[in-house]
Amino acid sequence: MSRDFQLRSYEFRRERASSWRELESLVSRCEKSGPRSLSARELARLPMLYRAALSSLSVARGISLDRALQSYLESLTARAYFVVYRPKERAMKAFVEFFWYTFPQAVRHYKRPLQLAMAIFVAGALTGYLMTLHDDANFYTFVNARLAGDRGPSSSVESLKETLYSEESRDGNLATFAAYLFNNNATIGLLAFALGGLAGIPVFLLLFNNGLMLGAFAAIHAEKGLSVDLWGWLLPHGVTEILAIVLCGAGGLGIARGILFPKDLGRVDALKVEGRSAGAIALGSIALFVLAGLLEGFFRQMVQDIYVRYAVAMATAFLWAWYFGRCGKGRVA
Amino acid sequence: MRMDLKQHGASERGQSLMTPEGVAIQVEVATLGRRGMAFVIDLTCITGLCLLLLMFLIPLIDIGVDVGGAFGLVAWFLLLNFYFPLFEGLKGGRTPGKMLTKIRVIDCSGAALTLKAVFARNFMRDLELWLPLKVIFFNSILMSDLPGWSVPFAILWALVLLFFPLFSSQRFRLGDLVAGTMVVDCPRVSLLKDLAAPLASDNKEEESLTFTKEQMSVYGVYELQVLEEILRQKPPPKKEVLDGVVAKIKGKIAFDRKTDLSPRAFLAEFYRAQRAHLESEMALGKKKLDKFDEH
Repeated sequence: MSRDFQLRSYEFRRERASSWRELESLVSRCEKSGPRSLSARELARLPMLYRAALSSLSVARGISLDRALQSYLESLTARAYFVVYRPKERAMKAFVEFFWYTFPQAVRHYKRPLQLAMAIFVAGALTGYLMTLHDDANFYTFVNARLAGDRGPSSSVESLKETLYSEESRDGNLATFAAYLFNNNATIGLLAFALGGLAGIPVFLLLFNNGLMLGAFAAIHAEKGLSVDLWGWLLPHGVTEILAIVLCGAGGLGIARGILFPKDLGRVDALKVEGRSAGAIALGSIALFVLAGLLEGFFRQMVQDIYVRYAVAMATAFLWAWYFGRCGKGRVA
Repeated sequence: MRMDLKQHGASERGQSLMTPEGVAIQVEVATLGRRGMAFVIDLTCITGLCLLLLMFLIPLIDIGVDVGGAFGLVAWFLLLNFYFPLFEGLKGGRTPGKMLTKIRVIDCSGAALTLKAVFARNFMRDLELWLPLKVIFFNSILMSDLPGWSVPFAILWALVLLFFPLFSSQRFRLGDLVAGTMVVDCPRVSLLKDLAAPLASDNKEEESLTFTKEQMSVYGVYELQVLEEILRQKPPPKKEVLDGVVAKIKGKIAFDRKTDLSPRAFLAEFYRAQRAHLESEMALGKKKLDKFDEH
């Protein structure tokens, strides 16, 4: 019998096993149906039991050679750790918090990449505009023929005008059209964000390319004296849509900044900081794409009055200027 | 009869997380096979949800096939991009697929996983998976405007992106790097019975073994834990195997007394004595790692 007294690890385990088992059952229930399935008393016991198990683990590492015990405690404490330190986020609260603070703050933090992305886009647009004015043939270099539809340098004033003020969308159904537009744009936006992972150069190309297309379109309309009509057609949704694409691009450039210029952080840490802000921006931009898709799909086809069109464009511009400039300021996220 | 202890393989997948309480927890990086399986399960869920939504909605609100199609397109986009981050953000790093394969996303620093991080890691998927796949399988359509020599380069680039997680021991995918997360195993281990527990037979008048100090100083921790695995093996090893182990141990520690214990009982006795010995040595600060360790 005296032999068993030597086994401290056995005694150690016998004394504590019931509290480990209690913790295990609480953790299992939490993992399965969330912390709200625990009573107030159990919820209060959870961190206590967790700390006890954690100290058991560190004692066990020192005194026990029982591998089964050690791996049990490792797994139990890890599971309990993730339950005890789980984020306290509730879906609704997180949603409000995100759009009121996190998103506009992330955008303000990204001022430089945003300016750069904007500059690339504008440079693309100017290039497209000037080169198409210079030689009409360039139009099809910049714009995919499928995307252009029947519009091109050779279209007549009437046919261009008809497209700008048509009440029919190409696909006949407004909802379908809006959905299609949203999908297309949001996919491009997310791609612009993700391409940042390749150190940014593809983001440049993507933004520039989108600018080129816009410029080329503007040029063929300008040649026919339809500039005012075109912008009235484009800007009500364009303000939001272009902003969203540029924001996604800025997110991508931010990631590239983390990779290329990590400053005094390590590259991995710098990437992590940038990546999280950029992710928030990409997420917020998806909401912008939804709005743009609705404006483009419904509003553009339903409202023909040029003054209303410009008024809406201005309104969205002011809205975004306020939102990204002021909203959620002065609070540390 | 040398068994491969998991400990040796585990060390390269092991990562330690420092808790605020100051005790490091060991976690193991999830294998790509499991992650792939989890992803396939989740993708199946998304497709199923999408189809279900369409099947119920189209007859319900009487929308035409083209509106239904457009709706499906948006639903697919939203599900594909929000399913993962919402589950990971609200369910402690676990999507249904991850729950089934018993893995989870964690923050590399051990802090609580934030929504920002999970969105960042999932928004990279476009670049890491879908785009490379498109480049590999549809490059003739996708790259029709580009010169032919660029295709092999694009495919090479796509392969690098696809196999990116192989380049780091933590199996970081690009999204993990961007968000500062990693995917680890979270197995449920249950508490097995203690092999050193006193047997019921101890109370009876049965012979109990005693070993000398010399006999106890032959083996170290490694051999003890190999023995533990043999004793815990399910189904229990055959009698011949156990006989072999007993003979080997007896030879090694020069145990020449006659016993009428079964091989299993002998091994259990030996395990208990050996563990008691090594643990008391450990309490004195001497840890004999294996039989080659001269302590």
